Amino acid sequence: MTALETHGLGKTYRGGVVGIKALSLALPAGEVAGFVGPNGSGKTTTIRLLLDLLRATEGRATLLGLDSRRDSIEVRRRVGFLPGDLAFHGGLGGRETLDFYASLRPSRPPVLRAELLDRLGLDATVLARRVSTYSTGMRRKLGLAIALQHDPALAILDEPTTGLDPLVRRRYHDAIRAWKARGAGRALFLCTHDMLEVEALCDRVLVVREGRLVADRRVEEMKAATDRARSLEDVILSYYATP
Amino acid sequence: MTTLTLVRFQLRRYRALFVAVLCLALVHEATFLFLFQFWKKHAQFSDWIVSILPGRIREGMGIPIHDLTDPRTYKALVMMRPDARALGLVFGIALGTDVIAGEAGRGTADLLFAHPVRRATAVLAGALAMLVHLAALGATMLAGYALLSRLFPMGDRQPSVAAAAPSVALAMAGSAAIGATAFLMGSLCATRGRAIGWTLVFVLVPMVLDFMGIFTSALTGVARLFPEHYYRPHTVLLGIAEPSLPSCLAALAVIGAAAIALSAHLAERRDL
Repeated sequence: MTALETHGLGKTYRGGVVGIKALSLALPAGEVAGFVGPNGSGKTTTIRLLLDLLRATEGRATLLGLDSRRDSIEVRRRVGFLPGDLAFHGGLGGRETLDFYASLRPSRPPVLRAELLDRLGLDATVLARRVSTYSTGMRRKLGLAIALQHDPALAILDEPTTGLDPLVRRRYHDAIRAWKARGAGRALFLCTHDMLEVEALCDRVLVVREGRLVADRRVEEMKAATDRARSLEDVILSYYATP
Repeated sequence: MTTLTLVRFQLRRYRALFVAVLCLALVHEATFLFLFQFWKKHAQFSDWIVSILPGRIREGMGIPIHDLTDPRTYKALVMMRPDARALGLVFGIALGTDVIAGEAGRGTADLLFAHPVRRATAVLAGALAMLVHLAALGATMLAGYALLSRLFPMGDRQPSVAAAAPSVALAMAGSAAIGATAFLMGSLCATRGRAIGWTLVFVLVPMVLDFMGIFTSALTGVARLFPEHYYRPHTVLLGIAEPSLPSCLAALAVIGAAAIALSAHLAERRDL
């Protein structure tokens, strides 16, 4: 079974700017895919199309066997999402924010919340504070807790560790691995610029450039192409260059 | 279920503004009741718009000066209608422009609408939260009038709370209808700033035309058809509406509901 699949997905914005064009990709259940590409290549556009935040101008996508447009509500009930430009309603506290987002999925209780908060080091004192007083790292941690607290079968994380220090990043990766280990079918679609993160978490790498998928390789395949002079990052970056 | 959650969420988020506007409403009641004590000593007191016209021109145009030392006229023309609508508009614009354009501009839309929330549901919940705020504002204005008029009595012919209620109900319904316009602009515009701007255009342009009505209706003789209604189109409409309050409220409700429905439809179709 595929956790996520797109068929000729495309988005052209008003004014003719092409976001992505005829993008077809698949993420099997149980795998972690690193979705990488240069800035402006269409990664965030793809994610926003998958979650029905943008309306596709061509093609379609299915998540967990459901159509992203027609079954949008059910898709969003089952999927966990962490946006790249993460913003919260500033007047609320951390605990209130967690409760609010959990209450939007009444049929999916936040079974993982306590474990995630513990792993990420978000204690009661921090959660009592207003989110407007949070540092970048604390906001990202809260975002991950919101994305995974209902134990989704598929998680979509957009640049989750950008701007985090190595210690917080490690905790972040541990929390993601712990969630992934809870069930064999859990899939992660990870949009990132961090090749170490790709190496640490991903089973496969999807490279997008100028709105098109230019590579879909398993990480082992890419590692096989490395040598002393050429790291995994170099192999992945070789797909970034325009031929 | 989701609708109620979102209504509670909006009420929580706007709690500070809500309390501030209710306090302002009480201060407004107290101020105007206090000022009436001073103004009623004058034999004649008129609205400033009319009083700035030289007497000869005013008489030539046939514009009368309302005696606002009469508590009923004062209550109807000065205290309740315009300011209650302005206070109500604060809620309409704050909530209406925030639900879609505000969320998108702030960057909170991605997280909110990645949850199982229809944009139409968010619009509906915002509209319900606005109505809750407006109902509380109307009740506060009437309760404030009832209590504060004991401190600053208006004397003989002071309107009862029941007599003031239709004016407040109409003002709140008017605010709700304009608030629905704010929801519509919120669904159409990319940013909250633009949505607020366009909503104000929709409010201010008719207001300017309405003020111009003081002069044009007098010149064209329309004023003579409604001499008791001060010549301005909105006061003429209010004069017609108030005696048939239920049908007027129903008409405003239909207009508001249509604007909210259109707003929900547009919100569903747009990109975030």
